[in-house]
Amino acid sequence: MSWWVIALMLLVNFILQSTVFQYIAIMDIMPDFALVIVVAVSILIGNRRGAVVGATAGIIQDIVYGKPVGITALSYMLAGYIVGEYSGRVFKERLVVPVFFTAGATLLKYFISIFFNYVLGVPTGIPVYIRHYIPVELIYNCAVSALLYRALYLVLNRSTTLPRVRAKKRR
Amino acid sequence: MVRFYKNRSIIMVAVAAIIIIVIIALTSMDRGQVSGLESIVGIIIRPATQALTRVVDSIRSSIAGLAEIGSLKNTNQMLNQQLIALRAQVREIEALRQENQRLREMLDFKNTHPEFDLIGCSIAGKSPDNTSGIFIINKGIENGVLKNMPVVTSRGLVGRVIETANGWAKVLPLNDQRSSVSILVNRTRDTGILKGDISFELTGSISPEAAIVEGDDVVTSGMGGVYPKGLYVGKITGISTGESQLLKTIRVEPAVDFDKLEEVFVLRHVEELPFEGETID
Repeated sequence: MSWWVIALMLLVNFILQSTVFQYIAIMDIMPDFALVIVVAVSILIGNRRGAVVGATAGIIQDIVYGKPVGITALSYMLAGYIVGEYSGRVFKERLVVPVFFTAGATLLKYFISIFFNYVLGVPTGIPVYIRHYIPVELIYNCAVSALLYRALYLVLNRSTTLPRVRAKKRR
Repeated sequence: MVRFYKNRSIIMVAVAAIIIIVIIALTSMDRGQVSGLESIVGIIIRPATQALTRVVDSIRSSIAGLAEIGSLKNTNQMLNQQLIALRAQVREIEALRQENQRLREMLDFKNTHPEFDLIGCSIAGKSPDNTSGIFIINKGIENGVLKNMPVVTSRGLVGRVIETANGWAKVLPLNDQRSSVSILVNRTRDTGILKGDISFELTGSISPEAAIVEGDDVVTSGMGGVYPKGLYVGKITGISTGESQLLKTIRVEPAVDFDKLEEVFVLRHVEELPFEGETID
């Protein structure tokens, strides 16, 4: 059940983000709802499953819109893993937790994106990233995270009990 | 045991990361067609995004004045119900008129340029990544859409197809930072290179001797083999000479409004235009 909930959420988000959400951009920038979801999910279900969710969400976006394929998958996977890794040491109910992790994940995403652009020889306007894309998306993502986390927490916390038990049995 | 478990997950993520980096390396190379698995993902996703895009496009024209409505709230208090209804009607008619005009322009384009074999496509979705301009169209290999085919509208050049699959294809627009096109200033016949950038603006470089002025029309030069000669790109809006004086930097206002693309054409044959210097605009 929980995997289905997460998968459905990511799929619906992906479809909305490449269509309807294009028109809610502020200063030409959309919030990265997928990243916000990956972070929230990873806080609740831990590092390994967080990494799987991140990689899956990223690879779908990459396959349909990416050139090359994999950069988003790598950044979402690492974000999911790192957030999941540290989620055990924080109070998951506190709103500051997802906002903080979302900020970190957004920075990580841009770092990886700029790194690969540089390696692959795409001319990167780093000042524009620093002046425009990163600060605006950072604020936007954190705001979305603060607004959505409680709802995601309720949905996921209820639906994540199942695989957690299963995972323990498997071990 | 706990330690092993933890190490194991780090190893798993590291292995996955290496696999993804290999995928990045493989897919960053020039390839015309996406793999079978990718094609399937696109086939599943595209109908949904396309349907939604269509719905959004059709209502967008009618709610284009939404921001305006917010600022005119005070004024609107005075307006009665009838006026609001009439306005809605007018907007609907306007949306229809615009669509009609757009389609008519496209039809004209097709009629007046028989040398091009055009494949009409609609936009199925746009990249969620803020720094990427890539969008997907609803035609693919089975309709004859192949890699590197130019994508145009009746106004001018949009970009080129970078990858294709069954039923969909990825298009890299001109103003994306990964895009570049060889250009010709129509009046002076000077050639140069035009590139997209991270801010989705078109900047280019051109010989310092070029006697260009703001407002000059820019067309494709046909060099590089991707775009045929003479496709209209836009107008020069800014000229500056760099410190080194080696090249003039130009800023070009594209003829196409990349934010409002709805229908596009893929040019099936990449051939030079019959008359040198003739432009399409």
